[in-house]
Amino acid sequence: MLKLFLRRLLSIVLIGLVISFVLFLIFESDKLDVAGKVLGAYSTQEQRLIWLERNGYNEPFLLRYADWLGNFVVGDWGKSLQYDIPVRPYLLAQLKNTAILGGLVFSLTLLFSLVLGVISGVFEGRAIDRSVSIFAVLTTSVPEFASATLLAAVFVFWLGVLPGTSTFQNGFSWKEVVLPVAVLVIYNFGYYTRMTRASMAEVMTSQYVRTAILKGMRFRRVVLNHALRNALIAPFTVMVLQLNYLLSGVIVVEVFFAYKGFGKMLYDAALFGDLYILEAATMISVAIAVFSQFVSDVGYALLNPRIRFG
Amino acid sequence: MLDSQQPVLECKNLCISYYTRTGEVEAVVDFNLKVLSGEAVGLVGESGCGKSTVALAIMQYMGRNGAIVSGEINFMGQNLCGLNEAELRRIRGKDIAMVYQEPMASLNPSMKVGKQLVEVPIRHEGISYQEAFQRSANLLSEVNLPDPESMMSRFPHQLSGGQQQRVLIAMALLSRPKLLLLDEPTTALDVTVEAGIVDLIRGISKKYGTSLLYISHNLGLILETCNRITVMYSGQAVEHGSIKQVFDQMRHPYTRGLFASIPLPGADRYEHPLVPIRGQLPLPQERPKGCYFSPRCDFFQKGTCDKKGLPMENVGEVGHDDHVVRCARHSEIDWQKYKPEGIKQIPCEKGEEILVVEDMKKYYEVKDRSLSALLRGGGTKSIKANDGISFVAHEAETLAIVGETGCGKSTLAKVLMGLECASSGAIRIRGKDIASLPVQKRNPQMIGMMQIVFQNPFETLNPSYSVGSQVARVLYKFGVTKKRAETQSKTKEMLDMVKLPTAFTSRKPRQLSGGQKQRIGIARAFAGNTSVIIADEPVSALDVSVQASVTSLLSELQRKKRTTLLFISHDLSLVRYLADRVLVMYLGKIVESGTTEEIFSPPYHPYTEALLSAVPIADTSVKKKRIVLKGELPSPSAPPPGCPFQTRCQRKIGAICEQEVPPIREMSAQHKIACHLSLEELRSMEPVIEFAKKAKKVA
Amino acid sequence: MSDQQTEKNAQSNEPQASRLLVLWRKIALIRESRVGMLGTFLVAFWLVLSVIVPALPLFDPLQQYPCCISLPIASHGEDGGFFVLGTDDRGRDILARLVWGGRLVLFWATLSMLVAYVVGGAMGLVAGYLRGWWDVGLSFLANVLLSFPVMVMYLLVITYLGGASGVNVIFAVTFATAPAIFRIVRGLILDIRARDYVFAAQVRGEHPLRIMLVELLPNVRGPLIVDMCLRLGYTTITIALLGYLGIGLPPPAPNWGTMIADAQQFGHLGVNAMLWPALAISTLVLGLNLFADGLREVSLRD
Repeated sequence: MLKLFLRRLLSIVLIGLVISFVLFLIFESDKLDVAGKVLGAYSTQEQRLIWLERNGYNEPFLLRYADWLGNFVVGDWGKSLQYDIPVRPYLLAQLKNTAILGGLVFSLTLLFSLVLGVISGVFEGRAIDRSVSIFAVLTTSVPEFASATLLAAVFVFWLGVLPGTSTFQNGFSWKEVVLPVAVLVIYNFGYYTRMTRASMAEVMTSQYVRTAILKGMRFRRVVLNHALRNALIAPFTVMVLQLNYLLSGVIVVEVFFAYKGFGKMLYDAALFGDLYILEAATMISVAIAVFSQFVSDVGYALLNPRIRFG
Repeated sequence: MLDSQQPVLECKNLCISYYTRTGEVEAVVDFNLKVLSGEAVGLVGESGCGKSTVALAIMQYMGRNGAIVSGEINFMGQNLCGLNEAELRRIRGKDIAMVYQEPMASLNPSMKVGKQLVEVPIRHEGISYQEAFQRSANLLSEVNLPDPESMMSRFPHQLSGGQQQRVLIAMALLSRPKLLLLDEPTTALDVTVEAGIVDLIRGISKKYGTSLLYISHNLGLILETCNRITVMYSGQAVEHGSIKQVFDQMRHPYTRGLFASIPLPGADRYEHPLVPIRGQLPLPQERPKGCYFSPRCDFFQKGTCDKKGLPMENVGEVGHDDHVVRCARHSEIDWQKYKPEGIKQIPCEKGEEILVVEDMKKYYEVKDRSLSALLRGGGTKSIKANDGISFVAHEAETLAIVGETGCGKSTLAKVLMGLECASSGAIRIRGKDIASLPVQKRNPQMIGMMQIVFQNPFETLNPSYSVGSQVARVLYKFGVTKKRAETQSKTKEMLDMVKLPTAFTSRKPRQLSGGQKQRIGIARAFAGNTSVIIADEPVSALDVSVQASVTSLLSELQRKKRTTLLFISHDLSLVRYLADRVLVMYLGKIVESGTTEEIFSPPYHPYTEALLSAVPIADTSVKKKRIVLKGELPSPSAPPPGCPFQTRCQRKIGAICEQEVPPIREMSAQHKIACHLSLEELRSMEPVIEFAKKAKKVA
Repeated sequence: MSDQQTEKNAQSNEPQASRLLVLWRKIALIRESRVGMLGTFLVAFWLVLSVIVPALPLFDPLQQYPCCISLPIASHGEDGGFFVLGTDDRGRDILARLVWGGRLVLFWATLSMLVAYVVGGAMGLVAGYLRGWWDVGLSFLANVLLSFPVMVMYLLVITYLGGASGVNVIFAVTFATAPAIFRIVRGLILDIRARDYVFAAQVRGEHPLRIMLVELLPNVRGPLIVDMCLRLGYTTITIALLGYLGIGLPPPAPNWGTMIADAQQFGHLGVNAMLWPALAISTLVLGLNLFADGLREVSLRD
């Protein structure tokens, strides 16, 4: 188990390194471009060269990469070009808002999809299963920006009960979180419900469930003790693994509702060319994705005795 | 048999159907069965005959699309069909328990064995956990599992197949059921492991007073475990009686055909040829009117056999009123005169040496990823899949390679075919060394010289292409034919050769039965100018009645074309019937080799002796010595030192077996045994299989 | 290549047309699935519209009518034009933009999905069949790419490649989805690579490329066709989404995503112009999902 843990750890560190190198290659291999971005479009060639010299950009590429990576790790993420403020406190504040959004969405999605998926898988083919399945396929077919449009039309423009933007102008407000969370849960839960259902239905037809039933166990006990654990392994690990899909959805929703969060910040930085915010933000998002992969792998091994005691 | 005695189980006129998209499928039709207290009844039949459906119906577990259409299943006088779920729960697992075909799949992979065991008595008897634990541990040791407490703290995947099945048997016995259903409990296991399980099952009725319903396709196993037997064919019981009645005086043409198509070890293949049953099992929707067996029966009579609703009739022997048969003509047929023509085999003179294997070794390097190995800096273990294999195969000779799972026979096939390269040693085919020549580097002619027939009929053909195109591809690839028209006619010729209609060329594999697919596989293997054919368990996945005809076809072609046949198998009966010479393998080594006669009669290698004793034989006149091997097959990555068989050997001498590699004792020019036993000890062995009388079975 | 010619002849005794017929019959089985039929209907609706749109009597989707800005459904313009679904903030006919937008989105979605499939499929085939270092390397590459949140990947690829354009969209979609396709194909191939018919091909000395393309690929087509339908849905969403974010197909070409983004700026004045593209994409994706479900249901019955 420890062995597996270390191997996975090694693998994600490796992936993280490769990605950081690729990112550095994308962002900073063209030195003049960097200087241009920092100094503005109207700076002269001469100014740019001086800036490069002064900021150590004439060192060998690999050395610059090591330096950059070191700075990132210790938290020195540079200054925003757009707002002229240090990146770190700004980014962390945005990240906090997004963590609230993401956390809510993840837990609600988990709750809905596991409960609905299990029920529908246990009663495969019955009316409840069919209703859940149809509901799930309907909601997964409405992408975030479409459901946001529909929900905004109803709750913002027609009923007028919810705000259409989540800019937190007067500080954090729960009311402004409702629509973004709703949009993301609606779009995401269907997919995981369907997966949980498939997994549960498969386990329910397995031979060991038959063994348990023919041992004379109560149906509820068969489902809870014998089927559930085996059925949840796959959906749970995939759900954790796909945290980065959630992050993508978060970006869209934050843009739509002008939610003051990490995703909107990343999007703005990408469009503006705010180099240092973009660098830090992509690194953070990749770190989250890689870490969730690690959690998912280790979780899978923990849940599955065949791997734990392989 | 006392009429007053209430049967434990009684099925009355049972009809079971499945409802599919295409309509109702009658799985079991008009089925009757009685199981008395303490009795073991066998239910035998080929795949799809409805025998497992009967077992699941008794358990009232039919799935959503299955239903009992009519009839009753009475258990201790109570009709199970009318019970609700709660009442069924009280019976399932307590009064009726079941053991399944695939032990691995039948145990919950994420729950410890102990927990799966204790919940049975806790559920049914409400006893405490401690008590349940103690009882489970006791029962595990009664089913001969070593160290029960540690077994109970393991997960199923940490047990071998045989151990898993013992756990399931213990689980079934925990609440002392009155009836135990065994659905092919040993089919997924190796022969020697099977022997141990069968040994265990045989004692159950006596020890626990439990009645057994033993479902199997193997008549030999039924003979060893049961008192009475019911033979099923295509959803119906066709014959029922005591073991002696049915085995010695079978009355139904199907039962007779079944027995005639099984090879018996000890029977001379030239004197007693196999008699295959022609045709194949009808699909439930395509059953003929009247007798379902009629299209395959030699005694079919218009007007008699095609009447609807044939009853089970008493055979009418005095004092044997429980021998019944579903045949309209059972009293008319003169079995004495009936001598069906079997597939005659003519002894075939072997020719020159074709294939020579010399001290061939195939080691797989496996990275040892354990932490300690990493720290030590080392880290490769080698698995000795083949460890010094030597043999010679001649033209027109059939050489059988016998052994159980993990003995290295499949690796040997892969190395010969060039899918893997030998680690050392030589393989010469017609004088050319190919040991280190992977298949990509062999020229088409060389490849065509050696071909293979695979085990699994469902995988042997590519499902995406027509049968004809797959044979044609081989013809083209090996340069047998060049032009399209020529290829087409040759393809038809090949199909004709394996006795399939030429119209099959345009069929897709899924439109063929298992036996037909295997025939195409054989046609494909013979399509080039093949001199060596490797047949890797070619019929083990087929039904008994089909096995005989495919085996015979293979052997007939081999003789006609004077091909060398390497027949890889675990089925000693079949080997006895087919082979000229035999190699017995254990853990990557050849432990015994010799002509077929020499292998099947003493002296034996102790492993061969155990294998022979484990073969179930469907003949009441056979007396077998019973040898049950102890322990588990060691992992090929950590083979025991000295003799590979020493950990399980029933004739182990002592320390010498653990320390020294056994010498090769030459019993004759051909017969070699790798064993520490002295020549005298080997010579003094008694035969494992003996026929009580040489008298031929009389009908 | 006369060699290949003969091969082909040897492989197929049936003429090509009849094989297409067989495939068609299989797809036609979807009639037996109710959801499948609904899906087929929805997909067919948008497909047919996209094909025949040039022949339809619609407004020019780019033509702005300054007189008729943000009109509601079923409005008459001042010059006598009739706007069935109303107009947007620049006085363009919503219906025309919707139908032309569908054509655009469907075209680019199909194209990028196919490109991603070729790339991911080829990678998966190689890694799954050849195993060894190929597998290690390609799997690592896929893992690296999968570690990027998809949106981050889109933003990076498109801004790095120099902004919104059709080709860049194809690149972005390929980078983001080829690794997922790779995993699916690799898994399917791993499952069947040890089947006896593959061994049979190996022992008659077939070239690995032929084994991959002729022996393996056709046997995984079932699940792949289902996945393609689902993925076409995702890709459609992506194309519209990129349009919405302003990094997709460049304006002024009508695009469902851009239509929503444009209308959103005008608050409740834009609600009408915003709803229609949202409904359009939802029905198309729903259709594709149901169609895929139907196909899966039907194929499982065999």
